[in-house]
Amino acid sequence: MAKSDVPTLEVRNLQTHFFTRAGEVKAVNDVSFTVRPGEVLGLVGESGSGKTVTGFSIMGLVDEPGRIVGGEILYKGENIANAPDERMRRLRGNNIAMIFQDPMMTLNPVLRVDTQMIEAIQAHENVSRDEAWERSRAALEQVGIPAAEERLKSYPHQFSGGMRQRVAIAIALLNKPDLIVADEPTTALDVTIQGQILYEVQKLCEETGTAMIWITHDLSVVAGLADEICVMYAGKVVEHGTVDDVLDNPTHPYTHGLISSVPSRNKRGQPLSQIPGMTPSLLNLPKGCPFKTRCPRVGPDCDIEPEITHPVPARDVRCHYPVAAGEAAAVPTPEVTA
Amino acid sequence: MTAIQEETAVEKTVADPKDAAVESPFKRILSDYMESPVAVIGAIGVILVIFIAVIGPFIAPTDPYDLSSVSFMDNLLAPGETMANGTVAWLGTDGAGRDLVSAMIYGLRISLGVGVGSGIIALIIGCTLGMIAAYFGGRTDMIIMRVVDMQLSFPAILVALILLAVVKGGPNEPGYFAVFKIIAALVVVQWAYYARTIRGSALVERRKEYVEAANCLALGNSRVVFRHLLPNCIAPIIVVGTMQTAHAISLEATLSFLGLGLPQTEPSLGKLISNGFDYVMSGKYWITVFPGLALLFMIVSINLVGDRLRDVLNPRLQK
Amino acid sequence: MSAATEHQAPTTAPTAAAEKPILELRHVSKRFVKPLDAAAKIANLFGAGLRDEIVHAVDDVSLTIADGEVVGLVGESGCGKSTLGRVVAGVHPATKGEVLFRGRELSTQSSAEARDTALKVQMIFQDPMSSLNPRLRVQDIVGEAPKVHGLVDAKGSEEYVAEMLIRVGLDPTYARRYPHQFSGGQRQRIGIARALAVNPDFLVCDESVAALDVSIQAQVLNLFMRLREEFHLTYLFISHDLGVVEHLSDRVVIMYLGRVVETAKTEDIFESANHPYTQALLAEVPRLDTRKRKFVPVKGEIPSPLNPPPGCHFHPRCPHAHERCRMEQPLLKEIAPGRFSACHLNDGA
Repeated sequence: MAKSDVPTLEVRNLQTHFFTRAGEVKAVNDVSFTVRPGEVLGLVGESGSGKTVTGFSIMGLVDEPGRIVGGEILYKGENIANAPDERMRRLRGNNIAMIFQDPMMTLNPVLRVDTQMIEAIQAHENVSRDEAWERSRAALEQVGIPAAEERLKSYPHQFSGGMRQRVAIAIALLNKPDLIVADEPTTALDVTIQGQILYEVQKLCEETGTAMIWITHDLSVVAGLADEICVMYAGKVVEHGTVDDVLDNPTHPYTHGLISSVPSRNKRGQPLSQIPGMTPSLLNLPKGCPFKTRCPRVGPDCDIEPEITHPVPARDVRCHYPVAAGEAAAVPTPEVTA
Repeated sequence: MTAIQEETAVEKTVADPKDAAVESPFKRILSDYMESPVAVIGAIGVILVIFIAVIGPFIAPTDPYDLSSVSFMDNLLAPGETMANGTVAWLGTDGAGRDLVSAMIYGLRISLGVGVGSGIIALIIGCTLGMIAAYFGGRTDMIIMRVVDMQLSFPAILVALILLAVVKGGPNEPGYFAVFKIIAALVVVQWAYYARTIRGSALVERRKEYVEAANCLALGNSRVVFRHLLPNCIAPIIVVGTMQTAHAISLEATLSFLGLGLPQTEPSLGKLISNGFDYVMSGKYWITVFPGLALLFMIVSINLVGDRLRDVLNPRLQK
Repeated sequence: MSAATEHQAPTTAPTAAAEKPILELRHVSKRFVKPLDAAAKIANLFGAGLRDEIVHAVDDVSLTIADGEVVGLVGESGCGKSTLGRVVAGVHPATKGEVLFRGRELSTQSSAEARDTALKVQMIFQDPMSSLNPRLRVQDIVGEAPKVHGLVDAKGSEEYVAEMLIRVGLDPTYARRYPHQFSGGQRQRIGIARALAVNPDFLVCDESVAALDVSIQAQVLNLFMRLREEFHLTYLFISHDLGVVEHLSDRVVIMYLGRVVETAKTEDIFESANHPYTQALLAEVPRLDTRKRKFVPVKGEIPSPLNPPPGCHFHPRCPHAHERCRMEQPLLKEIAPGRFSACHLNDGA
């Protein structure tokens, strides 16, 4: 994999807040990461962790009452946070593409697929209709749609869920973007179909050098697909490192808890170790570390908001009491706390 | 047992029972509603109208039904003139010498009563049939809904006109009988809207898992329909009900204006407008204009409320 | 309190439980017919030849579940697993075949007996949003059925509901609240409390943890396992998530397009799947310990259940398909003790 020096995307201290009637919701609160060409970054978190809002912020799709209130989003060095609409529209068509969980976010239900794809090309490039059609056909084939020529004439509702998601991916690929932001694109799909799509996506990144941000709640998908992983909790990245490092040797208690709560082979039938409680409301976060109310390693320092530290090399962690390498079963079984 | 206590303890610490974010649905809808100043004005208007209608007999300067107090000498007084008995007719008097303020207050009562009364009856009939259609489906559904379609394909005013013309009573028919007749006509033209609306939302609700759960718990059909389905279909019915009440009031006014509505002895706002119409050309504008404005005010207020309710009760429009 | 004691005295002795089935499905089929609308009927008058759309959601399924067993039912969307679950739970009647609960068929029972049987089989749903009536308080959601069926009187209802809430790990003071005031995991617990309130022996869990966050999923799975032990429950655990099923089940049933293709003990399935579809399914499961893997996709889409392929339903996607698979439907045969598979390959070798 070619890793060039200029990152495709660099997000620095991004803050996106929503100003609702109930109060200010800090959906994304100080998030930083970097994606290089050909690299896949897994952005993992539970509902309400801010992972989707991060994706929308990059795409410039955050709507009122939300606003990017701080930080930078550098696309090849250019800050596109709060860039003018016109600039964002150009970027969205040409350079950055998004794949949504629901492919119908991308597809227009009343237009034929070929019309939509040709329009998408011609909106950004001055090419003939025939050429645009040919490119659309090629894009459909690239994502593994059989009989692409015929399927071009279909309407979105004539496709199955998996096929529809492929068409959405093909549309995202049309203008050869440098960066794809994929927001849970396979969550609604069956495993065999998910496997097919992951296969196409993986091939694509390797072949074209497209950088990708894969947003998901499913650690196992990221394990198979991504190079790096960012674990988000309550609007912050709590742990960031390579997939192997983070999954084999998690240092943040939340990452640790997440990994051990996934059912796996060697724990069959035994109680799963569970993270107690639930994700806190972003309106009403505890003071200091937002995870402290659920954390088994909570200590006196946790009332102060933790800064990023590097307890092991090449790892960013936001925790006062990180799990040391090799410290087995750091998360106590649920019976311990009285 | 330890595990249970432990889990409970956890739930307690995380979900603070006094969580500020938790508000009752009613409070949320109310505060959503209050966001639109126009809708608040509408609500004040509706409350005012209802208030006047309820306490009407106590605030009306004279009793327009009391023939002994109505003097023909007072007929067609302009607004602000003083009547024979000494009271000032602020909005003038009509052709029979009735004080227009009092006539309008009583007219408002009748208009609102007829509108709301017919609305409630139509709602009960329509909702029952609509729920039956949605829950049982099949042939029952088809028959009920074809009747609804037929009903809705005729203009409401035409249906009401025909009905009233067919059952036209004799000259000495009592006043309340005419009121029942017009309420019946309004029910006939309205029930289908309710039936169609509630069937639509009941069909959506019926597919939800809580209905399956109720079946699974072997709860009876009528319990499932009335305790589980119906309360969840109520929101669109409130909206349709508000709009239909305004519609019924204006329909009644139209019918009265055309002479097929209420008799002279039970003058609604529409009847007052109709009565005054004879005098408009001779410059006695007030007999028609003031009841007209009152009618307009009432219908606009109700519609403003209905519009806003539709917005705040529609889950798809919620932020 | 009374309910707890009832549970502690199961009707069958634990030793005999293994042999005596609690639930038996005999050749159960469930069809959904979408009749032609008026327009299509008129078109038929002119010779359009349109026919009613028929979906064989469940096609001739036989299954036996022993008392106290946890059976995982796995399959992809449209395979009929949810429909089968609803037939078992009595939400949908079966079109053909028999459903026997503790050896007795439902249709032969009197209405009072049928009601008691219905209560013994309860269902836990997928969507924590729509499975609770939003207009009722938790007290009524959990307490309604026991009150209606006379399991508890009006006076004791509050105490009873509190007890149910404690059982599922919820604070009993929440009984006055409405469903929207709870998180997804808590709502799922309320759904479980509602089912437990009628003292069921058998729970059908339809994707009951699919909509929950990973950390909450673990909590609810642990709850299911604890309740199983405490109240001697039998589960039919329907899921598309093989990881969850592997963790929980004693036995796994794999369905594809309305038919059971393989059933075996959980260890056997995950160690050596027999049916090509099971193998494909297992290969696709993302796992934490497989990094930067090469995804090798199963070819083809899931066919529409409206128009399933002839012969073996899986043949268009099967890497081993041969002539016979296209013609003849393979039957579910015992290939080893306790292992059943429906594949022609087992006959060849």
